[in-house]
Amino acid sequence: MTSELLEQAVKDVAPLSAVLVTAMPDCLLYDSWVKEEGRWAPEEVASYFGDLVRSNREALKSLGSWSSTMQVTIESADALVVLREVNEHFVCGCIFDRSAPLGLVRLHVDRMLDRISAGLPQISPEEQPRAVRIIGFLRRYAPDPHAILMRVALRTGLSLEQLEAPEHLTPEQTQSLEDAAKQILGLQELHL
Amino acid sequence: MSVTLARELACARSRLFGLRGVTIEQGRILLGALEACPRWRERPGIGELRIFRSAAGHEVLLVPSTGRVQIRVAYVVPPIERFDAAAGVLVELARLGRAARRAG
Amino acid sequence: MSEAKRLLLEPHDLTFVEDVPYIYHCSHYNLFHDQTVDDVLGDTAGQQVRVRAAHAAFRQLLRAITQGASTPMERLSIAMGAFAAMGHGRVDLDVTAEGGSARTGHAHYGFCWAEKYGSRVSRTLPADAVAAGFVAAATEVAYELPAGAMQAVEETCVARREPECTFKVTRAATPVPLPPTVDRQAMEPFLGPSEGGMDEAWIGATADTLQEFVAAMEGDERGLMEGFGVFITRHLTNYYLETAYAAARQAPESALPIVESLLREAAHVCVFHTFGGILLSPEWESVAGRLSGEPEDIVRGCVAIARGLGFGRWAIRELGPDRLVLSTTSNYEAPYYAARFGKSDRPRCYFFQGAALAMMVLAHRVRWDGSAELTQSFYDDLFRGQGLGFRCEPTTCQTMGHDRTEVVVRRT
Repeated sequence: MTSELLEQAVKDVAPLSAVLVTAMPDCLLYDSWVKEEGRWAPEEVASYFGDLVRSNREALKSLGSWSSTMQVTIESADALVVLREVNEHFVCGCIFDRSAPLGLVRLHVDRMLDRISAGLPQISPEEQPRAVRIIGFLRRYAPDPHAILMRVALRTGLSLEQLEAPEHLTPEQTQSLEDAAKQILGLQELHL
Repeated sequence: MSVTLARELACARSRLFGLRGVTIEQGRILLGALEACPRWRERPGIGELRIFRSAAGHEVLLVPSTGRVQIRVAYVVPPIERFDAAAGVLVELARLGRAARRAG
Repeated sequence: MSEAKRLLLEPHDLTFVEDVPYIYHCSHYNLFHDQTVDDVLGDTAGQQVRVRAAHAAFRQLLRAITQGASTPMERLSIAMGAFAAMGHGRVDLDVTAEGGSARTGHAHYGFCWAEKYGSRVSRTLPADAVAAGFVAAATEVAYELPAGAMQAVEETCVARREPECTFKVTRAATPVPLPPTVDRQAMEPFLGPSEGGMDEAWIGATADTLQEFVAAMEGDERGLMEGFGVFITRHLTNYYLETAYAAARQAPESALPIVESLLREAAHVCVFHTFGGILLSPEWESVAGRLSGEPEDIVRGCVAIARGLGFGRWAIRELGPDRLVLSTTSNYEAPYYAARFGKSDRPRCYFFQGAALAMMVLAHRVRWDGSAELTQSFYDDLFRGQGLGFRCEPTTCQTMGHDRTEVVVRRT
């Protein structure tokens, strides 16, 4: 459900299709406003937005070009997407009609972010155990996410009950989980 | 013909497009037009389904009793160009349908 | 695979080329099946089991269909043609009795893996165990070499974002141990008397029409077969069942419930994508009319589709809003299991069990008014966790020596 905060923030932004606020570092949807509901799931998109911003941040840091005001702009066939870190705890993704002029979009984003950032809570997120983040990562990205716990159980020898409470896994079990995740995702390393 | 082109789900990305709003009568006219057009060659279907294939590899599937029409864009067309290819087929079908109606 | 060599064992709705059993499955099922085998056995052992199963199964097929050919070139040509006609991809073989290479840009597994998952995840291992097994088998059969004389290793794969799939073919230092295969003669003693069920006349007639249609389907220029919105293969049951039962029989006891659950899940995947794709297709509309969306129509349609794809003579014994009793005396799994392994102490018709459940889910939880799209995310929502809405209980199974295989699906 859209909060009063977003309802106010998007007022008079005509070419806007959606705004998603993602809580970091878990990449979970915090709040959303969507002009036409039902075409896609904000929860799913929000998590990708969070990961995109994180990847972008890491890439820019490795280039020595990162600054806290960086933004990601994606121009697709029918949408213009602007992603920006509001602060270290929130990422804001704004989706505009493709026909909207880029200059106007930037102006709208600046104004909306001013309104949104003023209304977001001050939080100090708890660092989640690594195993919890690995399971979350697998649920978002693994092929056939509905079957992921069963797949991991077979590859690690851990029971489904253990995997359903990953916060209780030992360091050895967490390592085994991480190895399975890397195999399933075809990755050398997991950057969570 | 006043119809809309709607993407239908397929594993091969964006190859299937349905024509929404085709009446049974319009389907019958289109079928006659396709049968008479040498650019579209018929290949075996199933049940009452009629399948026509163009030289470019696009296919038009038509169910006469319901008026359902589906366009299958040739796989050689890159995914990003498939909607345009389907729209091109639709334009040709509309033209064939108009000509067939005029001819009686 | 010329038409003359195909055989439909009509009263049982089982299909054979010469006496080699085959069925139709889509890429979603194929990928999920292989993934499950690797999850259970591990990537290396899983791949080895799959390559050897494909090697044995294609060796059986190619020996049967190259009987009239007198030269290696003729036999290679028939082999390549058959593989493409089955929808597995057009493979170029450049081999002698000492080895060689093979290549294809469109191996079914690799190509479909890249289409389905490639934009989301990477893959480190090649995907085409089936093609590798085929390449080794084709070389052996072409040069009249003993079983296991050749081995093929996939060196590059389109699923790993490489431009094509390539295979290196070599003489095996010691013969590759191949699993036994099952043919029609071995299966027939385990088939019960053919039985019909509710709506028999309609289901039988519809299945006949579908059988004729799919029998006429061929691979395209790439050697891929597209139909009903999915990539389909005409595939060897010896491959599926050797690998599935290797996973189920080699899994530790504690893991068996999960393995069985995933083997049933593979059937959910098949029913959702292939059966669902068929139900939404113009082909189906032309045979069965516009979908009413009534649960009874969906279930009986699914049963006709199962028969049409060569899964066996499935029959509806009971069907109500909360309950389905599905039975068969000729499902493709049971006669294979009985011939290959003997009597089981537990029901082993995993595909049948999973399919029955998925049919009720499709019938009752999908809106067939045109608004439903059978996407992966819809599948994930529909079949995730405890929210299925139905559960399936196998009551009898021919793998255990019963005279029929039967499952009861109940609303939870």
